[in-house]
Amino acid sequence: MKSSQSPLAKLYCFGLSAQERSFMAQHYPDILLVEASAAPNQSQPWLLLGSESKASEFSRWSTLNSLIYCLPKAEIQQIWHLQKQGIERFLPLEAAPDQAELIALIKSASPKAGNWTSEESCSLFWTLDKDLKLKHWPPETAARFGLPATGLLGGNFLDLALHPQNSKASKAKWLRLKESFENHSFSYLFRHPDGSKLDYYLKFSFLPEQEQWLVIAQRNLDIKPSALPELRFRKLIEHSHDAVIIAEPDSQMRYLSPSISRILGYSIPEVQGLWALDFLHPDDRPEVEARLLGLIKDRKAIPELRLRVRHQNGHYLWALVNINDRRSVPGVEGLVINLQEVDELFHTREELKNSLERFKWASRATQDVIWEYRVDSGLLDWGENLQEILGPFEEAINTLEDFIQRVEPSQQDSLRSGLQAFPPAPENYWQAQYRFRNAAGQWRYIKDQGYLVRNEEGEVYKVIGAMRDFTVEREYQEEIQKRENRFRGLFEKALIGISQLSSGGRFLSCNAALENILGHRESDITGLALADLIHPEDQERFEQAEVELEHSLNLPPSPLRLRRRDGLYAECIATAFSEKDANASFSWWYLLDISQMQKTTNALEKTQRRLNELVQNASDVLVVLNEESKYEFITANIEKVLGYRPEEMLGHHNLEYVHPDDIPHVQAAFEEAVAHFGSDSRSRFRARHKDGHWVWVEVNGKMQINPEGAAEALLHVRKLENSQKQYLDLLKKARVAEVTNQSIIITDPEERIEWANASFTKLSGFSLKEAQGKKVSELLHGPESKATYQKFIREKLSAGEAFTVETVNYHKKGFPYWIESSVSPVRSAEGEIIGFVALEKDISERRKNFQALEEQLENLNADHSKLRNYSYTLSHNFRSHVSNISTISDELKNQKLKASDRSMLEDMLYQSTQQLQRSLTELNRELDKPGDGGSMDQSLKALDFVERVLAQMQSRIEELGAQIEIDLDPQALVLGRPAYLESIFHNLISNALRYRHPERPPKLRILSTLEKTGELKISLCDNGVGIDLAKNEKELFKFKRSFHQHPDSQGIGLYLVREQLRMMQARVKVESKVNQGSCFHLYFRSPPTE
Amino acid sequence: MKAHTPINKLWIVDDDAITRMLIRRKLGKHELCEEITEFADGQPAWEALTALGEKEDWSALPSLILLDINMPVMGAWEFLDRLGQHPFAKRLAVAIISSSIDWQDLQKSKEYSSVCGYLAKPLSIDELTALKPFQA
Repeated sequence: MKSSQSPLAKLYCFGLSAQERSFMAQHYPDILLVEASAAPNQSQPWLLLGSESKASEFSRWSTLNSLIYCLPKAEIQQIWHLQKQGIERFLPLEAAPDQAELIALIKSASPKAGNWTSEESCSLFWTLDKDLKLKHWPPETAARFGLPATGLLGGNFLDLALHPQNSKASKAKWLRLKESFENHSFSYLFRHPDGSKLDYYLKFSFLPEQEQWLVIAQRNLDIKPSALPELRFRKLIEHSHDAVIIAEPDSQMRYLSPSISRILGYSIPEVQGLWALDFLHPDDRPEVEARLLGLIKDRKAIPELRLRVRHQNGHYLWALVNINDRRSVPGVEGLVINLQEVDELFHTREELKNSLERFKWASRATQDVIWEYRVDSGLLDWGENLQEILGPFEEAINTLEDFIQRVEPSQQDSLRSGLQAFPPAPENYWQAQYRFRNAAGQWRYIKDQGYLVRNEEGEVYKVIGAMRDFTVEREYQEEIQKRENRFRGLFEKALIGISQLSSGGRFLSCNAALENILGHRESDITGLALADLIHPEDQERFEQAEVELEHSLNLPPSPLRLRRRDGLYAECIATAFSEKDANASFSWWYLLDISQMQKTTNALEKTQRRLNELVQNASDVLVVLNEESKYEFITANIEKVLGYRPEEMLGHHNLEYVHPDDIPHVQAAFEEAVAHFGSDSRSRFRARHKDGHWVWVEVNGKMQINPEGAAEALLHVRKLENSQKQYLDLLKKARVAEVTNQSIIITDPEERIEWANASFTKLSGFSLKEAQGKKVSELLHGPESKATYQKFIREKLSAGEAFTVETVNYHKKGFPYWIESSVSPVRSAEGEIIGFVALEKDISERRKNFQALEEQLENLNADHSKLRNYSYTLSHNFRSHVSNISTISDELKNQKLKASDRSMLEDMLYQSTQQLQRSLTELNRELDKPGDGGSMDQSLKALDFVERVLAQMQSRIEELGAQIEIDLDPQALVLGRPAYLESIFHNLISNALRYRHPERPPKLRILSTLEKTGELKISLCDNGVGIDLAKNEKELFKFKRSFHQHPDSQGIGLYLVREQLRMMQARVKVESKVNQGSCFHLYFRSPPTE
Repeated sequence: MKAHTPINKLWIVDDDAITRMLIRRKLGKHELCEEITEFADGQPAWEALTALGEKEDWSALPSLILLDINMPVMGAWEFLDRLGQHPFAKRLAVAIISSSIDWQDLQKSKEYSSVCGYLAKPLSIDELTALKPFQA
């Protein structure tokens, strides 16, 4: 029996896949892989195998210079990717060194960790373009070749550093690169500037996208045994338990390690040069031949084979054989055959089989699967019940790796290391728990226990173990744990207080909820009796409950009051059940604190009650329509409006209840609400009452999004108490308020304007917006709004009395206007003044008329006094004449009068009589006029009046020989009063005769002209004495002014003329020159032309 | 009839010629005045008066002016207004003559210090001689 040997080298690894791991185990069986989970120690040599997904880890560790990056495939992308991350050292696995080589690397690197990788092992790379010119030239590569890092790009690589010793064949290979873009690899010698020779194995891969050659260079280490005496390699090989054979492809053995003698009994010279195949058992030979052919021709790797090999003594031994093609490895250039004798193992197994046979029944009885693991061969043997318990497996589980592949991936590494690196003696037990995929593919929980069998040197070479499937147990435990956890959760997190009481009614435990209820910590009350916390009045009930619990094991909910830590009592509902087993009995109490709940419930009930009251008494019915305009929610007070209960309407379409005539505008309102989402919309319509009649309702509503995200309409429905007619009246009134000429202002109690109608804006110039919120007095009053009025207004307002006042307001533009303002207070139902309504009437026009009237009145007063004077003057004149006549008559009675005096007196008497006569005539003429009645706007033909007056004066005209010329348009019409017109012409014509010039016969011309102003001008021009206008113009038309130095000058005539003209809205102008004549121009209004 | 003394100069200012003539005859008949001057309007009367004032010929001033109220150019009131502002106002005596007694005129006449009487036409000799100038 051979003892298991310690590994030749340890290599820490990271991120190896199962495939990679088996690859490693196969190729480097003597190198112990240690799975690292933490950052590697810098002083340790590392092997990192990984795929692209591990690249980030690589980069994380790239600062370590003791790393070997060993990739499963030297994939170009990975190289680029790693290079991008600053990692330029890698070892393509295809070009991986064999075990001896790697061990040598590790051993030689270990003492001088830090530079061995860069010097000896790490791959270099660079790129060349199609013409083999340097394209990419990493500094490290340059450093290794002793060439400059810069300045070489574009240069012909063949001219650089090539050693003259390269064979012609190697040069030819270079040239083939230009012909074919297939992958090439060959060895080549480079010349270092220091004269040394660098032997590299070059691998060329063409990157079609970049049109570049990627060149990966691996230092060729001379592993020829003769060339490496200093390396321990040779020694290692020679002392190895395994035999190493290097053979030609036809199996002709070129080199055999010394172990061959020990294993097979031959001396090396005896067999060197012979064919290895000839030493195989005839039954195994065909398979090996076929595999060799596959290896040579198709590079098909040969798995480890168990073969029978002929010993020198003629027996066949079982051996494990590995055959690797290393023809391309310089210095090897052949097949490397590892041979491990396993005959002893088989004997042992046979032995074990026998012993197992003895345990066979026992193992079946235990449900444990017995296994045996040979550490050096990695082979596993199983007890018979494997198939029963975990099998039947389609693929045999013969090696540790076969077994580990069925273990859950995350547990594989620890399991593997556990069976590779054993604790030192005297520890003889190995234990593991893991999940194992049985033959049916189910994961089973396995407890595994092994006994470590050690050799004389204390090294473990065998492990004998028993696997136990505890899945069911574990599931049961898990279920228990789950329930326990659930219970724990329930217990700990329950809102209901829970406590466990001993059979004596004392607290064993309680949960957080109960702590909250009682205000005690669990530790405070543990050991206390529940009975001690019960309200005295509840004691009796509690005792009954305990009895009941004792009998029925169950307590129905009953109210209990528990004393809290603060001395108050928590009102609880308690339920309990008791548990009894052989050992103990205890009870579980559930305590629900309802005091807080009661408070909340009370408040909630109150709120609900209030809400219901509100809803029931609310005039508005609250309605929610869903997206389909169907009733989704209706408050109960709908019944008051429409007679339906809400549930009768729910789900119905809202238009079902709308009067057919109203449907269009209801729809229009609805569409508007949708269009102006979120803003209020209003409509009035007739809704059908349950008993069939129609009810006018007003609906205010808007669209909104409900909490579920759907659109809905929220409506306030109100019954219009007024019939439609009243409603229309109201509408009319509102409309009237809008359109009335009266300005309407509504104010708040502080006299601030809340609303005003359009007429207000028209009257005041202020828009509603400008007026709103302003006080009436501030907005509208100005200097002329008399302070007294304001005081009066203020008193009335504060007394809350209605009043009417005339005052001056000011327009926005600043001009004043008169208004009559009627102000009424508006009172709430409680009598409180909630505002004022002012009706303001523009009385500017009336005021103007009134002012005109006042003026007229003044005029009339003046006229009146003048008329009084006039009558007085008339009487005065009469008296004057009469007194003269009377005096003269007295004188004439005197018989002693001289004849001359008598004649003079008689003449005077005649004159006075004449004057009296004339005055009477004038008076008569005035009195004869038709009464004051009659419009001033009669259409009069001027010519008629002139002719009439001339006719009256005919005798006088003839007497004086006056010449009258009339040039009046016969159709000319004037507006006026007939009597006045006649009087005017009489006065002016008689004046013309009276104030005739003494030296010439009177001449009068009467003519008419139509003025541009539309007035008819009638001019009376005479050749009389004329008037000195400079002296008399001001006095001309004044009453009682006699401006002529004429004996007849008596006149009140012109005064009358002016006054009468003025009454008829006509006017007079005078032109005159003394001794030449006068012209009176009269301007009359013409009647409107038809 | 009350005792009275005749006066030197008397002016009659009236626009009615017959009235002036009748007054002249009445004064002459009772020899109440040595020199009578007639004016048909207040205007020439005022001009004559101011002419005398400029000459400071106080001896030529009338002892009494009989003044009609209503005259075409310058009536009694205007005449009296002007007179009131003149230095010789106090040397003059004016009697208003009117064909009718108007209460307002009578009251107004009293406002003028120069006015010594108010006589209704036809003039009564007794009323005339009762005036201040005749009583001096």
